[in-house]
Amino acid sequence: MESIKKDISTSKHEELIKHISAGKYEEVIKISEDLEYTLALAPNSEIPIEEVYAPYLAAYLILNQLPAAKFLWKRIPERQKTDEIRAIWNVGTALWNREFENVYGLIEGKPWSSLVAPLMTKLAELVRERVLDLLSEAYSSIAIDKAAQRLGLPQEQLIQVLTNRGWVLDAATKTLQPKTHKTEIVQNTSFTNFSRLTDLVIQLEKS
Amino acid sequence: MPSQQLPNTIEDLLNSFSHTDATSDQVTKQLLPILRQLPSTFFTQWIGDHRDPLDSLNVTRNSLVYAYILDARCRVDRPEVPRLLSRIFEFLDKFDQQQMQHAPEKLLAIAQDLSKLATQFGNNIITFKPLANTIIKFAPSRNHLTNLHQFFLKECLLSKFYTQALPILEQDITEIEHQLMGINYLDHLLYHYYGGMVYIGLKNYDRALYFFRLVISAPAVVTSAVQLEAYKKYVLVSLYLYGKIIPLPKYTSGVVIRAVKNYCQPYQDFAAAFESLNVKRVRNELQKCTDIFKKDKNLGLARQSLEAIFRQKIQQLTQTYLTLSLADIADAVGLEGPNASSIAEDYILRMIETREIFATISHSHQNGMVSFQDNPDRYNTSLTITKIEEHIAQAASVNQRVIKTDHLVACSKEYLSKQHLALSGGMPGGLGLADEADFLGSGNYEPFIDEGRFFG
Repeated sequence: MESIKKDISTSKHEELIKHISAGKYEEVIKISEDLEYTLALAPNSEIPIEEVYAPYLAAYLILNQLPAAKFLWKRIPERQKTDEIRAIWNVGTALWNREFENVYGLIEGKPWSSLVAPLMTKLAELVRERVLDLLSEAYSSIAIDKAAQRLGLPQEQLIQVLTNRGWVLDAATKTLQPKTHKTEIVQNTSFTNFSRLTDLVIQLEKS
Repeated sequence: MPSQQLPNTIEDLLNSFSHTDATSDQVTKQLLPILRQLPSTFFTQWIGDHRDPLDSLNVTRNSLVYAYILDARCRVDRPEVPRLLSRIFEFLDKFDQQQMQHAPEKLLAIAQDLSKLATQFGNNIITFKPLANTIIKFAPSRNHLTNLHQFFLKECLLSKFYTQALPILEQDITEIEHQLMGINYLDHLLYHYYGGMVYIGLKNYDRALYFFRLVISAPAVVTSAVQLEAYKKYVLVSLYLYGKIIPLPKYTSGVVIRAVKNYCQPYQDFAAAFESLNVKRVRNELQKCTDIFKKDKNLGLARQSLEAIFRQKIQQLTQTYLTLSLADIADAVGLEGPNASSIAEDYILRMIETREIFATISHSHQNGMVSFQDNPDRYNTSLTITKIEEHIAQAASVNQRVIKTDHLVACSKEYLSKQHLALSGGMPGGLGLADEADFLGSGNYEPFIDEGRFFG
């Protein structure tokens, strides 16, 4: 019985590693939840529990499920909070407080274990993408130093990245102007629309 | 099996029903009264030659007896934790739903045993999966409330495993069968109260508000303490979301409304300060109420709603101005300190991200200017249509439920006997037939007249 459970957790752990490298973060969370349960029932010395918690926590941050991440952090027993888990949660706290400018430093200045490294690189990338989207929506022009701070990039690199994306540099006011973009919404009209409409009319006729 | 004669040993008990089909209704009816009369020490006996009575039982076919023995064994002084845990897991996995509906209190007892043993085992995480599965298995549908619901949520709250509660919470409770599911009034209140707390934790404030409203507006003859606590949280969540107390439903019991006025005064004062949108006044009020909020464990929530006041005020500015400088905004909403403009900028960024306001900030001018815009969505896309369709489908299903419930009421004994009384003139001012058609006639609704307003 015990050995069967061990086999289960070992194979799940292998699956977890596969999902991390494939970038399937929802799966990472699902498997981690399973593992948390299985390992609580029958500890497996071959899988240190902190190796489960670290990618688990990072995956929540990647999916921007901050409350879930916070409760996971609170649930992890104090003695199992390794330095790496603490470092991941420091990033989580910065995200929680919306201090995006601190996120990059907290991620890029750390030697992550090989298991967690791809997740943290992805997280930094996603946060930068999210901030960039927000900036281009919220600003008609933004001071270079402010943008550099929010995106955590040195000024020269920032100007290069942004002008590549179609932003315009205004050297006189030291600002950058985002490219105005409109997202096209795909309009679908199909027979399902008609069938839904008939359903609706029938429904109204009935009452 | 003679119904009144109690068996002397556990062996007698096992023998007495082993020759009949254990799942038949008859056995349940005869067996259960006996089980209920036997003391718990009876169930901790072993069979003569040191055999475990549980081994000779089939978990599914003999669920009731199995549950009684298992529960008694969990409640001894020093239970054998690992072995009992695997017994409980097996039981919860295989028990017979119909048998346990005759003794829902025993199922709850086993769930409580599980949680207690898990604590002794050293990790309550192991209880969540079996408990969630048990609820799904025990309830006739996902919309039924069971006596396990509130217990399960409490476990989730205590173990900080909020996400585990979501699959259960997402199903609205619409079916109450108090006898089969072993529930009482308090189960309903507690379930929705705990549910609201889970949703606050996960920052789904809309749904939290809805859950608290269900608790407060539950029909009541006397006010429950749970309703008062729910009201306190309701006020704070309501302030956070809308900047004012959202009025309670009309059908809220008068007793509750009066009790709330008497016992939740600090919350109403805080709300009154909040509605004035005067930051200083709100800060003062919060200072004054800090101890009370802390005692009620609502301080964190109150602080968060304080943050909402700045968002409310920025929202208001968009109604009046087209452009404003960041410094002016900071000043107008009452932000102080050397970083006020930069804090205001952060608020605005956040509100743009959550689509609470539509605006652009420009750094080209000195110190930064903000221009407010209208919502660019003209609601003329297929997305809007899909949304409307969803709501119509929802309304249709609610309508169906109303008709069904209405029919049930019209057929119920209580209603018919009242009708009878009213007809024979025995109930002054009671429900006459003439009143009835207005609100109880089955499916007898005003036809929906569109007049081209909604679907023109």
